[in-house]
Amino acid sequence: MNAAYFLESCLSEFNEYLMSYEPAKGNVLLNPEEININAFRSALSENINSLLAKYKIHPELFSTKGNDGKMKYQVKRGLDIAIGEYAPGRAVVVDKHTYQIGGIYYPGNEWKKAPARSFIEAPSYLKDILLCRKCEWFGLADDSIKTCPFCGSGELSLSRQMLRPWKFAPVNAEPVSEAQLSEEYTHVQTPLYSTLPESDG
Amino acid sequence: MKELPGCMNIRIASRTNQRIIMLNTGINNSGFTVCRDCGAAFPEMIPMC
Repeated sequence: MNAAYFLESCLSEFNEYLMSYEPAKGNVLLNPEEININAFRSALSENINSLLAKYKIHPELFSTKGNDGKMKYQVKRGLDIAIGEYAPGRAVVVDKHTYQIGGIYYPGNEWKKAPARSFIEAPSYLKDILLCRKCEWFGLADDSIKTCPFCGSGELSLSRQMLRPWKFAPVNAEPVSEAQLSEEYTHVQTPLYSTLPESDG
Repeated sequence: MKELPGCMNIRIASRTNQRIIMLNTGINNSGFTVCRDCGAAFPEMIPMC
């Protein structure tokens, strides 16, 4: 079992087990006569839960599952790389098999009727982008921004929305043959630096 | 923010921890179509005029 699977699928069950776990007297590592078992339980639980928080901040990208419904491969890349290399339409080769990326995946919601909805509709992942038609300034939409912070123009408009992906998943979670593959190449743009003049640091 | 001598419209500042946005805007800047229910996605292919 890898760490990602444990954190996503087994953590709550493990926490329940941990809270009810009673080490036997004379246990070499956890002798209840020598350690405070309650403090041990809460410290271990706290540390593992902090791992979950770190895991969520750094979403690992791309996944494919075997016939048993379990994750078969996970290819990990930083988000800055993955939004180009694993963007929908791109093909990736894993373990000599070619997969075509076909969607955005949010783990833990597979049983839901609309597994991606809660993720895609969350404001922390789907963001509005403001664009100044006059000077081409852009930035994340904010109620306080009525005019362009750079040129003062009122010609601000909402650009296409930006979605911050969690993971990418291959089409049908299965390899495609070279003959069927029609790869669509897309690329990451140069990083956009949208700091405002008044945000002095 | 400091002014740059001789350059009326340029200011200099040293800043840390600022936001940088990286976007994949799709083919010909046309974005991606994403199903809000299942997450299926593909690049839009709007022909350039």
